[in-house]
Amino acid sequence: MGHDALLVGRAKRGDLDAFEELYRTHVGRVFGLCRRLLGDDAEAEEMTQRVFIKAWEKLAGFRGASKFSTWLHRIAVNQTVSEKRSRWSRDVESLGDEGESLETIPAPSGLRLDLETAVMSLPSGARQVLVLHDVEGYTHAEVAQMLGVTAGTSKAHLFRARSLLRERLG
Amino acid sequence: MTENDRRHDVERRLRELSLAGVEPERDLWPGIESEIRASRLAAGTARRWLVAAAGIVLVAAAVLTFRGGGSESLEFDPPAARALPASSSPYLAEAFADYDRAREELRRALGRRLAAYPEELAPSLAAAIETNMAVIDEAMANLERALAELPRDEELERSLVALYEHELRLLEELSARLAGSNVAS
Repeated sequence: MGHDALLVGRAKRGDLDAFEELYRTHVGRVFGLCRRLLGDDAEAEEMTQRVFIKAWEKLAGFRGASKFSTWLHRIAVNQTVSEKRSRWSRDVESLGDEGESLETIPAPSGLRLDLETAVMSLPSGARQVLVLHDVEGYTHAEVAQMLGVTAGTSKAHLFRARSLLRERLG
Repeated sequence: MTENDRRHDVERRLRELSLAGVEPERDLWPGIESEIRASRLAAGTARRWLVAAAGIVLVAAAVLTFRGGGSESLEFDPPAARALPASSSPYLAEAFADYDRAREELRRALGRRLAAYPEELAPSLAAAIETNMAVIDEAMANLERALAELPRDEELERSLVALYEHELRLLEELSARLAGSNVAS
């Protein structure tokens, strides 16, 4: 049995110390995901807290069919998307199916950026689609359903996001 | 590196980003811990109601015996209709619908029977019903309060359904007693 599984077992019995160890192990990935989706550190911190609180509440239902990290990651995506869906839907739709140009959005300071910074520099709608599709592996149909837009809008954003990213990575 | 190679390289690095952690600048655990402790406290309060309610259900089971007899007759006023707790699960909603229907049928049958044979409800029997109903009412009120704090809690909902069944058994047994006393007379 893996270390996570042992900690999950203890946490399920109400052991908060074990849950803290799980938090320490996984907070980086959860925060990283929230930060990429939200584009703001303070918001990402609050969301990360809510994700771990939600995970604690749902822990009794975790049967171990997947790894704890996978289960936690899915909670993070669902929690973030469900809380922000209406705002994001507006951001993402602002491109429209006709593909309004995003080229007017400037690259930060014209420097060659590392990948994480380059992703964070993307406009919000494009960044959310890129993170959900290229980083998290969701299909366009799934992204469209999550964000409440069409698959065409999702594809248009991804195309622009990738172009901008390559440009900013130099 | 060709444009195509560059594109594939970026896509590969993006996939790897999913596994990459970014540490938050501040420790988020104290906020998480205090929230969990607060919710535990609230759940603990609801659990205490549950324990109290469960204890009362046991008492109700223990007093669910009738000591019929006596000659004096009384009116039987069946208790008012119950309501389904707010934010119930489909399981509780379905159980409540069955219970409500069965309870209404029993209540009407008892009303008709007592209208035809008012002498059947002896004082000791009426007192036993009253005691049982009061116990059930209190247990239900406790469970409904607990469910208001912990909506859709499976254990609480199961206890409430058990209580519905308990009340129906009480009314059925009363019905059977009355029918039996009429046959005997």
